[in-house]
Amino acid sequence: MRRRTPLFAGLVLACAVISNGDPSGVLRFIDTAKEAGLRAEMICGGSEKHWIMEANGSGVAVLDYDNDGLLDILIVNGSTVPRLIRILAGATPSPAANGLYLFHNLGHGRFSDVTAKAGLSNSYWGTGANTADFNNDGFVDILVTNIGIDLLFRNNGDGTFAEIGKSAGLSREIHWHTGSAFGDYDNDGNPDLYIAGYVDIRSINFGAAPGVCDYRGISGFCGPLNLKGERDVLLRNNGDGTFSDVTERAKVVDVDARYGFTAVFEDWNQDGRPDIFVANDSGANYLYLNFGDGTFRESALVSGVAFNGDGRSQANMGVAVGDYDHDGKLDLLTTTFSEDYFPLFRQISPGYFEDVSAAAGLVAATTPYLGWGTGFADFDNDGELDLWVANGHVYPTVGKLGSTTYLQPFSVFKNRRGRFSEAPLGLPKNSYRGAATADFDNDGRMDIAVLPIGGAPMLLSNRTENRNSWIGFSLGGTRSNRDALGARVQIEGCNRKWFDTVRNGAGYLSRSDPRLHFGLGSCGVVEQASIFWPSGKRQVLKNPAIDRYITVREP
Amino acid sequence: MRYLRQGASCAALLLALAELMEFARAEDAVPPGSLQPAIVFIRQRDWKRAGQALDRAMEQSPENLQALYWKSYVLFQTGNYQASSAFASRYLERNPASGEARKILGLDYFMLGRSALAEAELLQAGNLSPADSDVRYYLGRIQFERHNLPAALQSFQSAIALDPKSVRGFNHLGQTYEGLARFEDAGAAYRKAIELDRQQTKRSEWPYFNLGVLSLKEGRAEDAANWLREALERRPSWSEATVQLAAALGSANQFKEARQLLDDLLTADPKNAQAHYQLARLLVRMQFPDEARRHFLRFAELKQP
Repeated sequence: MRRRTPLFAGLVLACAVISNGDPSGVLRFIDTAKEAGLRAEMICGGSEKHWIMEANGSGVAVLDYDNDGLLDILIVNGSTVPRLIRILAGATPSPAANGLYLFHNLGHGRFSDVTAKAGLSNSYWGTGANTADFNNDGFVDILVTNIGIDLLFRNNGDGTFAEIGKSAGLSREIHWHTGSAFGDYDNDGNPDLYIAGYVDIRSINFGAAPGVCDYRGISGFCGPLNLKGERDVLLRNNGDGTFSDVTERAKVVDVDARYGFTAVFEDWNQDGRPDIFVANDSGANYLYLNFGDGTFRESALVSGVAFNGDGRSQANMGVAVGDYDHDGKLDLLTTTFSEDYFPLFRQISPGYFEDVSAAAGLVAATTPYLGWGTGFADFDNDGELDLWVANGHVYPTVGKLGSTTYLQPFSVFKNRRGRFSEAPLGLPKNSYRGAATADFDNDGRMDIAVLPIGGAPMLLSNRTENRNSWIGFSLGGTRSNRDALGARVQIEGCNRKWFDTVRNGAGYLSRSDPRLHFGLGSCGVVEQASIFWPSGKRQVLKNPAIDRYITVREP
Repeated sequence: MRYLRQGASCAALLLALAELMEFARAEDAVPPGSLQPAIVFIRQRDWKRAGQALDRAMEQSPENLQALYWKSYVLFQTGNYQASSAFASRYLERNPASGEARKILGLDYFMLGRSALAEAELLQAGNLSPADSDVRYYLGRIQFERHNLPAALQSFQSAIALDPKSVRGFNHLGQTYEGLARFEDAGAAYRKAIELDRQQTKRSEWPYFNLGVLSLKEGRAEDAANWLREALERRPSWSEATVQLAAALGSANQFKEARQLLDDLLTADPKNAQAHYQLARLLVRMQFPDEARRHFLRFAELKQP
């Protein structure tokens, strides 16, 4: 997006009251994965999907591991059932050839596979990809959750990583862990870690033929409901490179062992303390409100996010978080199964939510889809957060039903004053799972990395053309945690306000751009940017430059 | 919600079948001699005495073909589907081209939960009775229950083509479109059902309810409230419609009326979990969080298996 002269900016300011930005722009994405060198072969069991693990896919994380200002891509891959069975039987796992991929962003739309050079590998069935500077050394680290043993890769600062899960105190038992989230719940400056658990993998009888269940008249693998759930864990960062399991002490015990998929730290009730939301498959979600004394209270039901507006639990997979209606409160959406809708929970007062999916146009729009990865992002910088969803069914033969299909689109729902409608993108359908948004070329337009359950990933380069402005922030904590997790940025310009927080988690098994990005529409000036650091410090930037990323260090 | 609205299907099916079997087919017309008393009892819907009369007739003449048919019919009416299917099958062994008997057998299977067999029998019944809109309608119902929505769509469209004034046909066509996420088509079908219903003396509440719920899903809360009010005019003590109406009124910011509805409903039915949930949601919006909490918790208690 082009820069403007001050005169032009003044004109835009005058017009901003009546315009939300360039309305002519049609969203345009081009898959550049091949020419960018993003070559990976996604695997998640066999193509026929006889077992539940084969249906869920894996995630992608965005990180700048070498601090060169360009965002790199980490892809976590699944595995095969025979290999998993061998590991469960006690075999020592050897690194899988394609268990992980790290692609270094070379600039100019090119990436280079540096997995081996970086010392990364995964022997297990990979599920979640996450990144955070957990040890506050200025180099972002990697967490890979697995059906197996989770791996924590410390960034050595020289382009290589060392796996330190054992010395960091992560469980060395085999679990089926899924989404993870870093957040500083005790505000000691060290990012803590919540990991969601899905199914107790040992409750699946691999000695027998896979169970066959009926889904609306078609045969498929059996879902989680008759399997024992895997419990979630909260790990407190001790500040010395180790974590301690504080799940019970913090009162976030997943007593029912629900089938957790996605977690996110966010200060939902605006009391200055990060809470935790967990999306659970086939069960009520969790919302753990932070008391500030090291403990939480589960209050999803009372907060209105345990169930949808009908009081019905859904198959919650991914989570999107954002202030889609500009009321200064963060809202959230979960992706769910097909023939059901994705509930949009609007926060109506601190810590209280209302399912507004119908009024937002999302019931009809999302009912055909089975959604996984999701998030809010302003793809055309018109100042409104759009909703993106990576869709794809779990049953390859589901098309027989006529009401849904196995291959589904990657969808973007354009936000027009709080009502969403699907934008035509013309992209190939697939059975998509994890995805992450990031501005890989720093041009102010959010791109997307999308993983299918099998085959090659997509790198959707955003080629949307318009004259809208934008601003981005890259925050670095000093007293607060280095990643500034929990910091809130509010910007004001042209009589409008936008805000967002630096957060980790949400999406689905994936980690999006760690920076904050705001589309400004036709507003050509930001009069003020206020940063509320987790340490309690407030920082104000007057008239920050627009159409660029601004790096801000905590004073 | 879509499936809740289908919840009463078995009972409704039974009732509808009773209306369906109106002795219209020539092949099953009143037989001579010993079946006469049974037919009289059947017409009076005195199933017990009809069954006894049929048993006596079959004692006298075990291979009486018409007796087999009527026995299956009476057993169906009394909910003895297994035995009904046995008699219908025996009848069909000797008269395989009977559309009516296949219809009974198909519905027996449906009630026994053997929906694949039910669908197969009704498909055959449809071939044998190409002008029978009821067979298409019930076939559609079974296909809908089996989530074979494209097939259900075809069946309901066929039923409507044969009986363009069928309220229930358009109503279920609407539900099928809704299942296929074709909300606009669903709305049109419900509206047609309502238009036809307004011409009937015996009115149905279902298309009004379904259009109300659909309107709520589409974010048109005030429209939804109007349709749901009409549904409740036809069936005043319908708790599900009351809860939906309260939800619609809440969405339309008509909190006072919504609350009154739910308070009244909970006075009459304190264990209505959905009413507690909707009231809790409403109270949150009315900024009574403590009261809301009580109803959320009551909902959770009632929801426990």
